[in-house]
Amino acid sequence: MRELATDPRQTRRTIIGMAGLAALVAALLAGIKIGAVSVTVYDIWNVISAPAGNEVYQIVYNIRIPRVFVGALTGINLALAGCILQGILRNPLADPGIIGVSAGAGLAAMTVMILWPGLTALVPTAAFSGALLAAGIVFLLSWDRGVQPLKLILAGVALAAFFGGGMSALMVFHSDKVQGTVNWMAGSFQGRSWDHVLMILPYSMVGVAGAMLAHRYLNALQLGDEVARGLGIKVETARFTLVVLAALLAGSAVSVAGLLGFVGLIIPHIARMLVGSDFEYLLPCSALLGATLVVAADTLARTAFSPVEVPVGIFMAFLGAPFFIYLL
Amino acid sequence: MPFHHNLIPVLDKAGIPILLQSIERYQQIIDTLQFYGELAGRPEQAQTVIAEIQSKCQSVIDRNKNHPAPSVLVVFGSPASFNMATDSSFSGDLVKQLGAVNIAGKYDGSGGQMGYVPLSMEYVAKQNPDMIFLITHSSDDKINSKFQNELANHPAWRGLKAVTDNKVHVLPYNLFAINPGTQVGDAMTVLTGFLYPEVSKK
Repeated sequence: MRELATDPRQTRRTIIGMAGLAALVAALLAGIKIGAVSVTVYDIWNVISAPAGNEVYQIVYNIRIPRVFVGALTGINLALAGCILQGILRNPLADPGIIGVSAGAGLAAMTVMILWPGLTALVPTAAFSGALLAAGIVFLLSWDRGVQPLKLILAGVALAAFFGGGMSALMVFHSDKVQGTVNWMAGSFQGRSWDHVLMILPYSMVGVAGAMLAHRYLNALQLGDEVARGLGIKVETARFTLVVLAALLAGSAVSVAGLLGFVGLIIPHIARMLVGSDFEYLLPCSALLGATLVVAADTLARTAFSPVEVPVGIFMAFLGAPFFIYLL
Repeated sequence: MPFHHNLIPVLDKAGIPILLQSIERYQQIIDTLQFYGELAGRPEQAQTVIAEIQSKCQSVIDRNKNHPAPSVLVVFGSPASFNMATDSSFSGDLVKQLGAVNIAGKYDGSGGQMGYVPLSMEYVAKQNPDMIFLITHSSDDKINSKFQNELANHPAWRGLKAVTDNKVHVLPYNLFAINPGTQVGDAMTVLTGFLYPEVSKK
């Protein structure tokens, strides 16, 4: 029976998967090679094979490589989170912001940067806690024997407005200090280091593993709660677990990258256009595309007006939005 | 370009004369003082203050004239989010007036509009400035020294000459976070102390 079920799109999916992987590797390598300071491939090889404390080592190993990795992991996390949320909410407009993650992280990070500048080292932790707290509140508000998708979206919108008000208040009453926070708010990888890689890596690993296990449930949920239940899925448990997974993914991403929107919303759509709606292929494809997009956009953003760096969030919005409109 | 343009029609209607100003350079402080002196009908008093400031600045500049110009970078913000001062910012302008080389100086791409730009860490590492000046958005010394330490321990900054030579200086909030106005002489004295320590000790 299984032979009969072979999907004609299989070849196309394999090709796209391979191409995605190749694009990601190319983006990573380009990200390490290109920058405000030009280095040769031979220099990079030396950095890896024979670490020396010289200038090139400093630039490649301590600035460029961690930055490229943080970008890739952020892209993976945001794309997976967006993909999962669009799946469980069955809403094409869902993105990590919809469960309050961005607003929670933004308000927490901004509060720390402005009111307790002495604790600035804790900004990623604060952003992560803020993101999870906001997601928790949204869950509670949308709980009615399980997470209710419609309630969740409305609660998310309301909470984002509430926290957004808090951010505006901070900006208005501490307008002299806002300048020190704007880069973070725009979403930027400026000055990211190995610490940040280690901060986000565990969540990416959990996210990728979770996504591999989750595609069955996501596929079943697409058929509606009744059918999914008929197929033997514990709908409430599945939905709850998946939302928690998405919150962890998105929270860890905003904690290192700042408020980087767009990836979580757009990438799943682009992936869907490429490989179709089967989550078994959609999730890995989104992860690959998300990582590639963020790394490539960040590389462009920091070299286009070199040595001035445009925060990648701004760059991505300017490039990505027209591209998405074109795809429509 | 000064902000608050939308106030003009409102105040105008109410019959209140309004003057908008932006002060982004050393010279603008002098011009503004003169103008306010005339406005208040006491140009002599303004002249005295101006002369005082100018002689203070001139003496600082004269003393440094024959010393090698250090290269500097002025960083505004916190270790989590920061920008670099160009020549269009007040601090950048002062650094230039004092003869130091600001490695971010010429990267205002908009002709005097962008006082602070986010600069690539790689470029900073390549230029490897002799000194780093840190302007934070806090007037608390404890917080400032904490920022200083965080910056010095950050992997991307750690290898820089300025950090290993212990030449990361925090600039006082009241003189550098916004333009210092009539205290511009004090701001210059502070900068000179950091830029040319061997001169100021004499």
